[in-house]
Amino acid sequence: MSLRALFRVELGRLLCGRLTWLAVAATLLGPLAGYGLYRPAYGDSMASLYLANPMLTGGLIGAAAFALLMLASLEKPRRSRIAAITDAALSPLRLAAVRLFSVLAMAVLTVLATGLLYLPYTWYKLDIVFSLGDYWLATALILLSGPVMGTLLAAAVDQFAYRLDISLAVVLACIVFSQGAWCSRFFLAQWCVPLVTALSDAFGSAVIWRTALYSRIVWLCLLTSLYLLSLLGVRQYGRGLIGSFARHLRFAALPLLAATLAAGGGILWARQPFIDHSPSDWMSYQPEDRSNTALTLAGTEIEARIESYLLGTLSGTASYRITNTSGESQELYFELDSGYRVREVTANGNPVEWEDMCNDYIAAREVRCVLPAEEQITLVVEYGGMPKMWNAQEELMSSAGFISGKGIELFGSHLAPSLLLQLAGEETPVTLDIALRDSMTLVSSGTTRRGAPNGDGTTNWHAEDAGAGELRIFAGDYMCRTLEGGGFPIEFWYSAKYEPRLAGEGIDIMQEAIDYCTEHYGPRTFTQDKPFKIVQSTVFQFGGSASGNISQMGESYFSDQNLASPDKGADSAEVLAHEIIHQWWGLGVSLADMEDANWTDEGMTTYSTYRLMAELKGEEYARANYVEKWERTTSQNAQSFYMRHPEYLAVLPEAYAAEVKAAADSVNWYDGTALMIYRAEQKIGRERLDAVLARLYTQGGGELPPYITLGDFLNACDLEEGEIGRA
Amino acid sequence: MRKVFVCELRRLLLNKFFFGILAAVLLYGWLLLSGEVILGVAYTAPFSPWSFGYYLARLLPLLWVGTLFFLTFFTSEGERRTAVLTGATAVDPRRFAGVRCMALLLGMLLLLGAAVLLAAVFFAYTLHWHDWGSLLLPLLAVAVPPLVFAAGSGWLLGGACPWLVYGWMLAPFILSALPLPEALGLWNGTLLRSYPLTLPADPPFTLPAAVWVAQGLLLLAGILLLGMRIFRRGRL
Repeated sequence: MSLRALFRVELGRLLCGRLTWLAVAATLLGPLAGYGLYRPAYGDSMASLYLANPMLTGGLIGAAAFALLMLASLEKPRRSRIAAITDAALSPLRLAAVRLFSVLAMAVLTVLATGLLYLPYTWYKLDIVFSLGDYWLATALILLSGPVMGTLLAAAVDQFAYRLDISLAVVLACIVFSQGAWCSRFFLAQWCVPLVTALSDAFGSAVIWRTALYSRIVWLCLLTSLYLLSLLGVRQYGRGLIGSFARHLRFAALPLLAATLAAGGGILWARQPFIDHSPSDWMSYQPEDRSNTALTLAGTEIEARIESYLLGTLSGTASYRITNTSGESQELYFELDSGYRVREVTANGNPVEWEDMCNDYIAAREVRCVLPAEEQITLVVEYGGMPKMWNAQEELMSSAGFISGKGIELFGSHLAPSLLLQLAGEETPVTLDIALRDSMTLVSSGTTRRGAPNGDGTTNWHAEDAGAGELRIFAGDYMCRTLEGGGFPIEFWYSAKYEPRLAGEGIDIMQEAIDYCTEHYGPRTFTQDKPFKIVQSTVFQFGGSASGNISQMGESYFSDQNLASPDKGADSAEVLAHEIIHQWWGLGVSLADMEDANWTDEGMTTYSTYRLMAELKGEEYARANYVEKWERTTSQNAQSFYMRHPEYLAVLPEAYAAEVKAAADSVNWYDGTALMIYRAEQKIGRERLDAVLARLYTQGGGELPPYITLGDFLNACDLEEGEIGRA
Repeated sequence: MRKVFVCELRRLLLNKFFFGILAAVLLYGWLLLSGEVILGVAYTAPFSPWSFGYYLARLLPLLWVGTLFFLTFFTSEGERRTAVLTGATAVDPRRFAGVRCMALLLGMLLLLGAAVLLAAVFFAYTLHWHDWGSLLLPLLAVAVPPLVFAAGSGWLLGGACPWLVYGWMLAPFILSALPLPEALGLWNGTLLRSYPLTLPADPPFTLPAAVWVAQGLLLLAGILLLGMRIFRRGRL
């Protein structure tokens, strides 16, 4: 029989088996568990919750189910004792290979059916942020990976062990191990399904797709190599493993191909291009101070090009105007992203030798060069490559700089070399010229100007900033709304995908929140030239952050899931107000107390949201939706078993105790602290409390500067802790 | 009859369905214990009869399915054909049916016992708690009546048509999704979450009279239906 005919027969046999349909059913139902029971992704974007988690869980269940099917398929001739008969008619190696391909074909068909089955629901849940491309990428790279890898491993192990029970135990142990704490720290250690910590709703998940594809290729090489080796061990003529192995060695192509694939997988593993090699004890590592005070930077011009959106590579030419006051040649170090390589360095047009120090530290490495003794030097550095991820953040897949067709975020040494010298002044200019896809809009920390289209699908952009040279850029399908607050413009940049969520009262309420905070606490201090920019950023930054005039707001703040969070506001518009108020409490000033871990920005922000709503929607509404809710949840928290019996919390294993504490912390951070501030308001009056908060906001705290402690707050209110204590 | 009993029990337990359901019960039980029960139900301790009852109520659909799977061994088409042969033997049909009933109930208790053992190990490991006697009442009140009813009603339905047993497996899943009256609140555990809140802190395990009546009726109905299968037609 030809291989094709054998394959048809084997596939037909599989289709008649009950176990086949059990494996199909398990894989079809597997993603359901990802909606609630098992959520391996950390991210809280809609795509993380309703695409990544179901696909990962489905992939894992599919891996176990198809591994079992593969094992049963190999076991069947042994159990029914027909192997001797079939071996007389057909090569057992060919039969084994055909059985593998049949199960793999069933796996592919099942995954296709699963993809089609969950498509409507995923589309419905993701709604405005749904991407058909991302959906099928997730199906192919995450869901399909499980059954394929599980089948390959099961076949290989069984052909060595020739025992279903042992093989099944090994495969299941490998699946469990791959989901353990150790494997979750390394994207390449995930043999079964790739490491997916989050999926972006609006700015693409290129980091995940690239690492997932790369790790699948590595594991396909390794497992196929193992499988080819195991083929040599397929028993024949009643011989054992070693006898069969020795006999099959005459098929020299098999071990050669296995060795080639193993070597290929090994090389790809060792030379992965995504993660840097920072020291594992990075906290105790003290980088040397390389800053050269004899050199002064007068200005920087950067010309950058995106070489490939698919691979996320950039090349650039950075030109620096440097003054050398020493009259001697000077050693200069500059930092560059670990994924970039220097291509050429020139000083005043003359080539300069450089040395890559290969000292990765937080996704950057140092390069050393020697500048001539001339006073005015124009240093030009040509560089390029793909930004790397800091290895300490590998388990989060959080990259400081990234480039994809849907979003770009670059700053510091991830954008251009950062010279280690002194600046001529705070106004030292830095400019950037970059061509981006027509569909992209550039947002930068300074001023940005759109240039003319190039006619090749790209448009030139020019950005200027001044100061520490830390130009920060974002690009994506950004839209801008200008919000007025405190007499200065606030630019709110967000992905066009979220326009429907912001089209209603969302923007109005954000505007009201800015007005409220500016009026009651004080303005954020920004100038007309360098306006305050709130920029929506990718989910891989895991939350918000602030730097210079840029305040980043994680994209999941706008997800339907977050907008429905009752902790932050009664409806989605109020949650948006909550996130805007964080620009004052959290990013403007911060609350912290060494003695009360629950004294955080969240409580103050929640209280401010309540006050805003009291102004906008009336006291009755605010009291019913905020104060009464705080009283209810804090009362429930106080009644909970572990609050009443902390001695049991002490004996709980750490993981469970952390979970219990996290639930209690969540109540205390948001509702408990807000209720404390509300009680203070009741004691000293609303007007006086507003004056206290304004003073704390503008002057900061005194006990633990710049943080505002609970003690600062109580002192300012002339209150004792017991008077406004938690429930 | 001892040999017949052992043989029937072996048929029920030494097969992939039993191990599959056992694995599902243990896995889901662990997820429930570590995800929900560990926090305690209705502000009571995780090891309180209320929390334990809630755990059993949530596991009930799987235990129900397991019990009905055991029954499929007695009600399948293949078994009906074999019944002609077993009917021709000298064994008393009632005693034979009684032995099967015993094997079925023992299998069911083993599944339930595995879930209880899991909870006991979990409480001992996480909270160093060992007062397991206090869990007997919720065990008898929450789990036993519906499972005995599942055995009796399932056997009746399977006797009429083997495929009805599979349809009957869906009953607790459907019930758990419906807003049930208080008397049936143990089926989906809602009563165990709400009723303690109406009592003083850390209340002893008590249930409204309507619930006791409903559970008692279920148990009685289950026993009667099993009795009918044993004494009316004997085999099958």
